[in-house]
Amino acid sequence: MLSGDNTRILERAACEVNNEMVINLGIGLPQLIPNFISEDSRPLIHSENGILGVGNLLPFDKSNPDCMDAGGGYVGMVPGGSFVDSAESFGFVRRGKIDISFLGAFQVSSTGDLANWHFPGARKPGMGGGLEIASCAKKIIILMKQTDKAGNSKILPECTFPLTAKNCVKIIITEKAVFKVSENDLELIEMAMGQSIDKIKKATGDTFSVAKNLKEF
Amino acid sequence: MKDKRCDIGTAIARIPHGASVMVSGFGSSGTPFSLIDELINQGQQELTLIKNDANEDGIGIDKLVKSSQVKKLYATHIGLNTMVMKLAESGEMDVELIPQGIMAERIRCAGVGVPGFLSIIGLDIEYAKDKSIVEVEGEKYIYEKALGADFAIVRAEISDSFGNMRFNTAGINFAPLMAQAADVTLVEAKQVVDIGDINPEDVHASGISVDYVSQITHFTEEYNAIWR
Repeated sequence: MLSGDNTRILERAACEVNNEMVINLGIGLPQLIPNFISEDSRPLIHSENGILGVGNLLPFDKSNPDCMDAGGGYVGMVPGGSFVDSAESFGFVRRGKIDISFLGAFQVSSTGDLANWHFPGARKPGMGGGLEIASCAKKIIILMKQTDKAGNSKILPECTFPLTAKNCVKIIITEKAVFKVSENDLELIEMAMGQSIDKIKKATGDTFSVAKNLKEF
Repeated sequence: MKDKRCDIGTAIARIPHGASVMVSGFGSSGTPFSLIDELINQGQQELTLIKNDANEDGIGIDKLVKSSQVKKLYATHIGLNTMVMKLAESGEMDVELIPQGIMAERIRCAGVGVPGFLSIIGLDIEYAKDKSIVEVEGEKYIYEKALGADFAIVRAEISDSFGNMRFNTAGINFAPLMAQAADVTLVEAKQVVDIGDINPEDVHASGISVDYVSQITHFTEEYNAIWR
């Protein structure tokens, strides 16, 4: 069951896409975005193991065992989809053919640095395709909780965890707020219903500017 | 045209102790389970494996690691295999983690006769620390070296006796790249057909890179979808 916070994040994330885009979804929460996208704005979904046009998740007994996405889920295909090898798939990535990649994060700096591949102290899983996707997608949108389990802000002046890529994050969507990120400005552009600028300030580890036309989501 | 058909045992017997072996597959998708099982059966030691991941508990190359045949593993993500993460952490097994597209392109380079490529991925983060940095025309790049191997073991859906291959959906992943990059390439196929049975325009990867073609004779549970 999705929490209200996650539902809010996903609903907001779904507003970023349209039916002419190619998007890539990180493991975890971002993979649930398709459930929140309306039929007429469906983008083409890229999975870095070599799928363009990922369809619905399928139950294991109705699946093709080789037709897996990068998260290990058995998936169907949408009409117009295609399969390519791993080098070509990352060729698309490096060439900048991915319009948006939605990713999770351990930490994001207020200048858009991203730390999402290794949690210090935990075993190293490897970075998979994270470095290239974070470095090369046209737009990186981070979906995450505003704070970690201990209540510390995940938005910081500098990331303390190992970086995946520098200055790559363009938008941060949390359960409390939406921030626009650039190298010299962290800007609050939307806040969730029931939030206030003061509440968001308390939950954010760096200063931010507030958009003139601050919206609610 | 050379007829490359042989049984799996004969093909795997070509691999000596200490060989480097590329293994196709992304998770279970496209993993050559029968060729792996025969490696376990024959017991080649001190292998260096190059595979996207370490499969999962009880599946694919996880079994090779459990039977202590693996000296070193190159992979992009081992997060679904706790045992391999532990072995990597303790240093009991040498595991080198490479970003996925970098690994694919390094293998592609080996397969197309290019010594390596220049890249800017990870240039400004910790990743670049252990890499060779070169400066060309005033710009800095990471030199990513071609990654080849003595052998490749790959799975195709269909192969003809020359090794022209077709793959099942996303099972293509690393297979054509590895087939081209290795000195000797072994293919296991669900269906082995005669020359001419695959239309030239339907071939996904040419048999020019293939040395042995074997029919899968025993479909283990690993070939099926896994409930999770």
